[in-house]
Amino acid sequence: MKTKIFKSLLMTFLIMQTVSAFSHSNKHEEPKDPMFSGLDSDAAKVVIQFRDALKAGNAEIVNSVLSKEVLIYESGNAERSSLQYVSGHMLADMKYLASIESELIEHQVKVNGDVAISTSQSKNISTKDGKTTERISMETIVVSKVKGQWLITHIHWS
Amino acid sequence: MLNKIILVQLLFISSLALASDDDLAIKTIINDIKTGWETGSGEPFRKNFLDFDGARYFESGGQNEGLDDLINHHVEPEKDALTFLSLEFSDIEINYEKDFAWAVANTRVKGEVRKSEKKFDKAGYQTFLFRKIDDQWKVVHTHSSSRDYNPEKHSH
Repeated sequence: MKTKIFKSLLMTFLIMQTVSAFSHSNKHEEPKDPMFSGLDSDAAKVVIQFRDALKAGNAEIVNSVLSKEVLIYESGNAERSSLQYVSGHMLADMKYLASIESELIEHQVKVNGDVAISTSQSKNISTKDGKTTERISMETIVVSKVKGQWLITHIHWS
Repeated sequence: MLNKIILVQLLFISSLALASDDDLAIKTIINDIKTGWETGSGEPFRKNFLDFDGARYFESGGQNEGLDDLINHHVEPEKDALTFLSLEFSDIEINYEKDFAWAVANTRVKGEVRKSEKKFDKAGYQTFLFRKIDDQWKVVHTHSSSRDYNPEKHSH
């Protein structure tokens, strides 16, 4: 009886080892980079679209992905609607981004139901009078699904 | 009909009570965090922050990666580096989406650097992101930014 149980356990173990080894040998998953994650989600695409539009100076796209009631904190200043941002500080941001080289160091997006959190860090390199300056910039963005559409509801830049 | 009205009113009152419970819980956490910064104690952070791989806390162009880094390299060293630190959060606004909440606040930070005896007075903004885990609100991300306090700008 004991021998039977032992044989049965041994067979189960061997089958599991074989299945495990087989499944590993057939998978070629790329190692996940913890510095860049969640970027395939729809919410992340909105953040990327927003960032690209700012850099390209496309006000229409910027405005289209911002919630009307967006709250934007920017290094000690606050803007409390898309109208206020688009008619105010946006042009200065576009001008600044067009004048620098920006390298995204890390970007993570976590989706939780109808809300997503995007956090990122960039290295901004500017050149003035032949002198190069590097500045690290942090970005927190909250994206909310409103009536089926992902819109940016909060931005904090520093 | 009367029963229906009473039921609707009861539901409304209970939803208000629920919302204020969440507000109270989140404001208590924010107050704990203020105390933690002011006293250089990591305890309120360990109690109220969700410790997870990939956690990041931003402050004016810098970041701490993970709860240990925040406490060991930022919160606790300030106890020795500063003679005093005063941190005020005001005009706290909280937004909810099921088990997620984000709170924003105005901040005022005053202190004195022990070594240089240099005093600072800054005003700015704070973002807190929360998740409700096992019926407890936990901080998952923070971002603060501030500038030197300008009485003209900040009086409006």
